[in-house]
Amino acid sequence: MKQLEIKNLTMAFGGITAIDGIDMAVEEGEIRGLIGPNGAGKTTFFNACSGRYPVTSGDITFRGHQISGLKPHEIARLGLVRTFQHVTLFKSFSVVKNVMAGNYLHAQHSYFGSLLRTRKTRRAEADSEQRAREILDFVGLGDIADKTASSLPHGHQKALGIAIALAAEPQLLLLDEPCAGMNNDESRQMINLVRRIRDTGVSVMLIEHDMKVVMGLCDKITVLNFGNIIAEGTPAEVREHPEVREAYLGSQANVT
Amino acid sequence: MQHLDRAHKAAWTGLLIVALLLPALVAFDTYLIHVAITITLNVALATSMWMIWSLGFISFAHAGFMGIGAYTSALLLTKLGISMWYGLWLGALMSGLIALIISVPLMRTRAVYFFMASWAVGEVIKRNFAYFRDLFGGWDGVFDINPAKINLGFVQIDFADRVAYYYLSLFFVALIVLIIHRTNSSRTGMMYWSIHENELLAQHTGVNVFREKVIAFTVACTLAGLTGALYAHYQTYISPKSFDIWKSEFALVHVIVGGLTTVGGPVAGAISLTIVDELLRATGYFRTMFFGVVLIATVILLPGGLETIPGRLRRLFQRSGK
Amino acid sequence: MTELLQMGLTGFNLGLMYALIAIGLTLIFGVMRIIQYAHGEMFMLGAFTLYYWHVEFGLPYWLGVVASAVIIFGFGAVLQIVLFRPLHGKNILYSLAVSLGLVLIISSTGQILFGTTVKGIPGPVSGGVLMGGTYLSYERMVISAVSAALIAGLWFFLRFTVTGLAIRAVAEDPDTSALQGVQTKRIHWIAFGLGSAMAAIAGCMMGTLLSIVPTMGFLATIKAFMIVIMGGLGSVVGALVGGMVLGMIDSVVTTTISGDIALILSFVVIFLVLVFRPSGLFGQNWD
Repeated sequence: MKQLEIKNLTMAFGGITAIDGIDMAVEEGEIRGLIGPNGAGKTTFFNACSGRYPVTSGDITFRGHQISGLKPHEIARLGLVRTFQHVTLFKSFSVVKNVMAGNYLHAQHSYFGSLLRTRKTRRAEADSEQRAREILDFVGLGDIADKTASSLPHGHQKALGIAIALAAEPQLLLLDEPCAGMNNDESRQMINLVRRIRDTGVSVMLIEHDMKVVMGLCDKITVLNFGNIIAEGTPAEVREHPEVREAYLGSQANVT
Repeated sequence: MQHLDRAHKAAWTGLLIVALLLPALVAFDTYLIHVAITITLNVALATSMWMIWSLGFISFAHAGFMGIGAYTSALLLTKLGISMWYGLWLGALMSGLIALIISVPLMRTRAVYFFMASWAVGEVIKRNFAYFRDLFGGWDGVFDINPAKINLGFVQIDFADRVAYYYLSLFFVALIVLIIHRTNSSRTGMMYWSIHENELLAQHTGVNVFREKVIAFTVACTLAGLTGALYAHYQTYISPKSFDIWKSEFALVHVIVGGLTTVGGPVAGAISLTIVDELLRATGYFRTMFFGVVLIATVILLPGGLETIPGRLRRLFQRSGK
Repeated sequence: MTELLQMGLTGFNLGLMYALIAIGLTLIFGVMRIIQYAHGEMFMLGAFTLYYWHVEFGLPYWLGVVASAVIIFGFGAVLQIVLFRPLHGKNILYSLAVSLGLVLIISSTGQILFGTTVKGIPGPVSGGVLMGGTYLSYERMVISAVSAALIAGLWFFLRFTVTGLAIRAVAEDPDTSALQGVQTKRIHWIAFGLGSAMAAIAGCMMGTLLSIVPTMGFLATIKAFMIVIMGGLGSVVGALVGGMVLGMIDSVVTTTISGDIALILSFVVIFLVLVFRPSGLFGQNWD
């Protein structure tokens, strides 16, 4: 079943067309890679899907809902959640509070509940903390749950970014360069984590520069260049595609 | 969510007990009770300003909204004869209503622009009081805003009496601090601080940032309006000058000197600085100068304000204990 | 008709001086991303420096304007180095707090030192000329010319000198310009001093035209802020346009209706500008 469907999407900023009328579909349970040279429009694509920037023209449909034109919080509510390329956290919060804050949508917030501290609210808060700790165990940060987020090493901060997104209980998770700045060991753990996320029934779409990660992890890859899709297919198909080889000759001579 | 630990609870209980016994502790000295009432009003203004800060911005329209509450309640009494008991609530509501209407366009601005736009809003509110002389009395202000009396049958309480007014004021201010504390220490507060920390991320995890900002601003201004109404009936006289930018500035000084991360900060800041202010009352311009020095010294030497002192002391003792 | 022309000229004159104050503020914000709440106090100190120089000590007027600019430049630079540099990169609230503290200190010290009586500075020229029923005083003309020349001078300075270009580079992108060898620390105190000196000169001009009191800084701060949010923080053109708009409103509405309404009206204009353009007319979106 198609989860995310993009029809003729165009994104333009003041005369510069970052994405030029692309069509794409992401299936349920898929890990999709989005690659392309710098400036190809990958992050712009994520910004369009998550509602950060308004769509210039075209349609984005997510699980039967038209989401182009919606605000970020409305899109998150429908189950499409993203992470950011640069580490984006609630820096002065503890790790577990970061995840609890991400769990906003599912923790039944109510102003009167907060004010009166009803039993229901207290239970909801305890549940939310419980849930946050489960998520932290899942991403492998369970034993540092009470540290301050800004004190964590880069790899852990990246993982925490994903934990926050998971707390919003997505159906489709968009990861913007999850392995950027990581060493081999950390990358391997991240790949493993993304697989486990998919196994819980969440589809994943990711932007990544590290070809080893993309080729080993993704079921299907879409290649963007200058705002157009130049190839789409399994890792093996994409690797053999002449246009892809050409596009990558400038930046990375070897698509391995 | 941040459950109070025992030391905090003890401190709050102690403060409340002192506050309740205060008239007896100062031997019913009318001047000292006057200082105590001023403290309660300053605490209320500083905490509600801090509530707005918990979403990451500073509003200099705060004294203006305090003024709306004060003028509403004052005019209801002097023009229509509606007593303080209704005036307090209606003043708060009026302030909240205007805050709600203004915050919709105001929240489109961000960071520095918000600060400056709020500053403009505060100034316009004050100028309106000054300009529409028939309604608001112009620069001369409104007189004879008497507090109410209640007759409980066996005993009659006249709130023109300072002790009685002190308890009335204490009750409302405790209520304001409790509301803000409850909000802040729950999921709502966590949501506010997540907007403060990282608006973009909060938005992308499903928080309707605009809506929450409007609600928080409206609630904080409603509380400021209530404070204003309390102020009006205590002073029995108000003028546009009572609600000018200095009032917002001093509330900000209280918040910064007290501390920015917990509700204890503005409370501590407002209490200590109001006392210092009264001690320096006779010194004229040196008083203002002193406030400036304290403010700069706090930012440079004690970042985080008074609320960090217990933690600093604890660390100091732990180090010397080893 | 002549009345309208008279109001227009007064507005233009006021607008130039407002712009002069606001450009200083916008320069400081653009480079350091701090709100200099004590900008009006620099304006006040500038005016008093000229007063003591020219009136109390009887030294030449124009040299006094230069001296005032130089002294306030130095004062601003020292403030930046001692107080604002340690706060660089921290939340904007802290620099706001420090500058608020400065307002309290400087204005109360001013009241203690200078007294609260209203003083005046005699102008360097007197007389005027009647043109088509409109009276043009030489004083106003000279002051307009000086203000305009200074604004133009700053514009050239920012566009064509090495230091000026460095200031603009830091305002555009502090990290990149630091990487490319711009000494951002040096640029910071220069910009702060320069901005303060602009306010000081505006203070001299305004003090000559009107009168001086130690509390005059607050009104200047109000005007400068209004102009800067209308025009957009960090934008010199915005400050010029904003200054003109405000000068015209002040001149026309104050003469025809009242001063209170002029202020309310200018706030309403600013509010509307911000509603439709949340970062001002020429501003960028600062986060």
